Amino acid sequence: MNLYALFRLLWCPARIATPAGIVLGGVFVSATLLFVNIDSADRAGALAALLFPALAGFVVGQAVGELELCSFSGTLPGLHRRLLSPVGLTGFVGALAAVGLHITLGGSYGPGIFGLAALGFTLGLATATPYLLADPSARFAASSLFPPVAIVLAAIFIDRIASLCQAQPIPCFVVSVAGAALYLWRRLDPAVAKTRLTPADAASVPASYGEISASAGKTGPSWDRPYLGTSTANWIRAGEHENFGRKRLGLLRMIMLHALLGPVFIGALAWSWGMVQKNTMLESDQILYWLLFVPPGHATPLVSAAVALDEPSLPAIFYWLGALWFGFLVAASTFEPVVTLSISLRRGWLYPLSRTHLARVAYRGGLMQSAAALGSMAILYCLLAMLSLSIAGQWFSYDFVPSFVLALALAFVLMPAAQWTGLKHLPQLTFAQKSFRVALWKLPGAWLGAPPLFALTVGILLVLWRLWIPATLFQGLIILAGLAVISQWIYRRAVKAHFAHGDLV
Amino acid sequence: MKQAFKVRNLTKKLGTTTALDNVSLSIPERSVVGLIGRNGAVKTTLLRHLAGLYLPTSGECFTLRCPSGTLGHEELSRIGVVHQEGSLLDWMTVEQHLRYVSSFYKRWDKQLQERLLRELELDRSKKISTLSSGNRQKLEIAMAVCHHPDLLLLDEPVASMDPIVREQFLLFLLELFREDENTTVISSHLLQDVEKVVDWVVCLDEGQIRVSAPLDELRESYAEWMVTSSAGTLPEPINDDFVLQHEGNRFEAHVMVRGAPS
Repeated sequence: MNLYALFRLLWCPARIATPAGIVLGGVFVSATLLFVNIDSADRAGALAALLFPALAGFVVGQAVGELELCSFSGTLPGLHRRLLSPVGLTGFVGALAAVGLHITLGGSYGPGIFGLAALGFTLGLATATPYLLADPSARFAASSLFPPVAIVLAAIFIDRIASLCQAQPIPCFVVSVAGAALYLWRRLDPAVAKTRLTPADAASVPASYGEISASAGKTGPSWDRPYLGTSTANWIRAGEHENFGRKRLGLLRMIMLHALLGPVFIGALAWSWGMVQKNTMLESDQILYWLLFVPPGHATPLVSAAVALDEPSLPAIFYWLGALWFGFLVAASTFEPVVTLSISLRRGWLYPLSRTHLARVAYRGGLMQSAAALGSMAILYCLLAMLSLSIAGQWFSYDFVPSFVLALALAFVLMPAAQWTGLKHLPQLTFAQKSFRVALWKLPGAWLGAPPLFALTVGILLVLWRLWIPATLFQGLIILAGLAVISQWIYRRAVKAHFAHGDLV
Repeated sequence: MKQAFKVRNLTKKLGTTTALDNVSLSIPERSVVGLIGRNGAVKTTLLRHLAGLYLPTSGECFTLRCPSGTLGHEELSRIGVVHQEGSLLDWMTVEQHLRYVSSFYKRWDKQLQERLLRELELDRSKKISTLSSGNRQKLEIAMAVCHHPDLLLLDEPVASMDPIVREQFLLFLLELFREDENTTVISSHLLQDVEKVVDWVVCLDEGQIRVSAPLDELRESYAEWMVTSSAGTLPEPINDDFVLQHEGNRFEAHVMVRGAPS
């Protein structure tokens, strides 16, 4: 295998990693460049040297794993050992790039930083390996979770690690690089590879956590409905059962999972931003509050980024950046449920329903999906607000209610765009599907359509939130209600046309 | 005689590819039709039109005397389909899946379901994700026939079956046909797979119908000859009008003929 072949192999997963890289890069670049500070530059540089190679290692690990699971890969002589040089070379190049980034961010150079990058790459590679284990339950064992936990711990204690790298550069370099080489040697040992999945196994072994838990125990409540007839409600219920029937209260459990994972994700973003500047959770939470909700008294004249630089002021800076992150939150929580909270009937099945009826089921099912998504978002926002307000000794305040309600209303306006993308471009994707990850990578329609839709969403939010501030909550709701009626009307017509004139497979 | 389905000047384009090219076909009710063609001959595309899953780019398609694009609940309840590559709900067991699908139809023959589970040797408690491709196909067949459809569309139903089960299945089809007097369309790339049960053969090639005739007529019209000449005097190639295909040399030839003089 040569570099070009590895590049082609990585191209597909790189499309997944690129948005994550942009997000991570945005966090570091914007926060660090706006607050140029020698202390934070070292911390920012060290975090970049750890996390970016970790991301690269994760992508490479997934790509190598997919290659090992291809049909007939077991017949390729010396496949595992041949992967040593390209993977090692990728890690070396990635580490060099991370060191370059560290220097660009103003960090002081040292061989220890290179070692830190090598450590990050190795941990990322190790994080990607557990899904290859032949025993699915072992994927979630403590030993498999160690690499990602180690990355998080390293990020939390980055100050100490960065200081160690600067104080003891040569030992850090030697230990990290030797450890990385040893891990790589063992990871690509043909004898060890036998303990993992074979290509023949790969098709039959569950690839997702949802499928593992489903196969482990009972299959959930039985379907005890009598003849469904032509009742739209019955068929929506059938769609929900197909997608979530494996567990009792399946859809409700997924809504709660969404709502609870959201604060973790948003909190991690805000924490990483705050960690770059201030190494305390307290100020990170304050940043989180400003990110998400416009507090009263600050919905006033705009502050340009240039003015903010001249007069650094925490509220002013995040007045703009908060809109971006808020927009990202709304956009993500609008589009993501299209994939994970789908209750649509399966494509390609011959249901005894006319096309008109199928369109009705799809549209009304979409309304139910919107309700589920909004419910999840409502819980998410409440939890985030409570988390940030807890700093001030409160658990609830009506201050955030207007932004909260308007955000939900805007998500409802935008939801049909995401649902239309799902209807036209997404195959049947649920967490239950084998190779969910691989299927997700092969969605050119979604990947081409998603970024413009995200940009449109964020743009609309910037316009609405920063150039037009509703005088009252009621005024805002009236306008958004009008927009919601229009978007639903357009979507309904589009769904009818799709089922009337399109193919159902 | 009433038509089970009728296709008139049907053309279907999938992207820039013309899948079906001006196809016309009419099949009476209570026929067992073999839809034969090589891989990629668009047999599945034609079946999907009959089921209403595809709409023609041009031309018409009528199923159970109704345009395929406007098939309603009544008509669709009378159609059973076995897909070549079906997608089942992997998290369910066999029994759960059958129970779920049974709720789609007003009449569902539980006795037939039990009999099929027995004869096709399907373990009702097994998770679908653990079934082999052959067993998944058997389940699809059970799902398609238990509501006694008037039109049964089978897309390569025996491809994944072992010879013994294949034989059993074809006999079962014949029995079902006698009981229900339905119309059955079986697609396959091998005529030998289905010639025991079909009475009408449609051959598709490159999106067009090459032959559509009763099987008996085809048997009388078409033949395969092995011709030998110890003196090596066979012509190369054999150019008579009734010769469709010729392979061989001056000593031995394998010849496909149509309408050959007796």
